[in-house]
Amino acid sequence: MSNDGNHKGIAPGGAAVATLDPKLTREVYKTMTFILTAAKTLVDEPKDYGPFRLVDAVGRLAQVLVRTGYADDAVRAMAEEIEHEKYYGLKDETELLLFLDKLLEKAAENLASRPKA
Amino acid sequence: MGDILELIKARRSIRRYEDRPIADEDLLKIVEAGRWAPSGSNRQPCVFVLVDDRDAIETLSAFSPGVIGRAAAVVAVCVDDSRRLANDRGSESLDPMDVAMAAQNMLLEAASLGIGSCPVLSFDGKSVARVLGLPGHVRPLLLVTLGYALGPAKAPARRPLSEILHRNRWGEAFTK
Repeated sequence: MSNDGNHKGIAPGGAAVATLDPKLTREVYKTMTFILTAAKTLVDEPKDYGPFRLVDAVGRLAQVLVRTGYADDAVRAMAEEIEHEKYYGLKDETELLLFLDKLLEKAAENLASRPKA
Repeated sequence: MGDILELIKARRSIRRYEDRPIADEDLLKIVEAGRWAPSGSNRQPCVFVLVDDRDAIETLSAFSPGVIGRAAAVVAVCVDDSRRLANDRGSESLDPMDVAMAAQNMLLEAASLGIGSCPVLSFDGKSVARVLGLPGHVRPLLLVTLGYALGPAKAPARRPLSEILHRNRWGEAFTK
């Protein structure tokens, strides 16, 4: 999919498919690139780097949504929690699992109570 | 001259940075420290690409999962293979050592200037070479992130000397 400069997404056949924010798509593309790169570099890295890279990727995606104005309260809260923990917490597997349990509990509550799109 | 051991002990790997630039003169001092590092057979294979443009850093970071925070600058410490090939000096096995010695000099110079740093090995070399426009004979082996630390960083525990130091022969303790 490309962007024609008027924020219109163009499918391979030429049909407009959605209104896109070029800043958002660029930032998301960079995050996708980060995840792909991590998939490659993790092959040779310590096992415990894997969960950290995934958490970091979620944090980066959440920050993209915050910076581009697409974040709601739940996304903002997740972005802040990951931003804090990735620097000050996650020292070992026990801390990582506690942190993930906390995030997933909130995510489960949030997704259960969200209206269907 | 200050106590170099105190500087070595005070240095930390910094991953969270203030949003402020580093003066060019300080960046040059840091690279100058790398330039003066020893190298195998005095090949001086290291070349440096200093990235301090915000967009360029973000693009580089997309291919470098080990770059965690928003650094003010990133230095790609590279080896120029033509230095080795043209002069038939040593093998590729020396490259990581030469780069590591240059990088350690840079980390210490940064620390002496009050600038935080972190060596990063987690990146995709081919992609980083591509986004930096490196010629085929130049390979990035290490990234060094630089910036002013946002808050203090704790020193991780170190193994005691008694556990890692042997005198004259393996297993014999160092006693004064």
